[in-house]
Amino acid sequence: MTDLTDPKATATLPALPDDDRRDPAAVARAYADAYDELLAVAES
Amino acid sequence: MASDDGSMRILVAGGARVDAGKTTFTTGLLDRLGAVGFKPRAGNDYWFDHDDYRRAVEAGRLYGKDAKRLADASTGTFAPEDLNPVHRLWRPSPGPGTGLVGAAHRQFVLDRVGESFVVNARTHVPKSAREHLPLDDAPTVSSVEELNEVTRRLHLPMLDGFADRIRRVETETEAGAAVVESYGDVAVPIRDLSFDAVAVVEPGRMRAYEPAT
Repeated sequence: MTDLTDPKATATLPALPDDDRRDPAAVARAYADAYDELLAVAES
Repeated sequence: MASDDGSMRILVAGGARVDAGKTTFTTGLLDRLGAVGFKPRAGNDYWFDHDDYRRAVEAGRLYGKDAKRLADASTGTFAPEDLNPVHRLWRPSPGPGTGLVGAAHRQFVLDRVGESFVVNARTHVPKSAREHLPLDDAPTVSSVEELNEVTRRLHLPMLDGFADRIRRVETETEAGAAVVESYGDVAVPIRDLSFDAVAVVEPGRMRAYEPAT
């Protein structure tokens, strides 16, 4: 079972306007730092 | 850790039951990776998601907006049902009762399992669902025991087979990446499927975990 008390990375997700939330490319830009952190964990 | 063949599989789970932002996070990640998104189990509500319900049911289908968003954001051409094999339709349950499956203030109406349906015999099924979905020969359940038996017979084999489908789609897509979104606060949406990382999303924050090995 994954230990949910020990995150390897934490990132802030900025609030997005509705138009951006519906646009995956806009989400990808806004959440880029969080995805960097997540993918670093996946590739470690 | 990403697989030796270069494929990558991410699980997105929610830190809160509703409106955690999982699907928005997942659609952006699909765009980033050129991946395919999956939501093994999903659900929506006849009352609270009525526009989505009508749009699907009037076309003879049952899926929710999350599965539609994943299908639209995925690389390749997919219908929502391709990415979401099990969908549960709820409706509000007035009064203090918890309904057949013990959920407060709501009761399950019917499940879509692949292309089949399971109907709760103890609740009112909307006329539109009876008109547009193939429910006449669908199995009905009227107790938790019956629902559990149907789940063992239909839902679990469907979900087990879906794990193979996820692996197959990964190999068929150029990016070789899949993102699996959990349902509500259910942490592990499907058995026998490993992940390279787990993202737990809540409003304003994402925490990334290494999955247990």
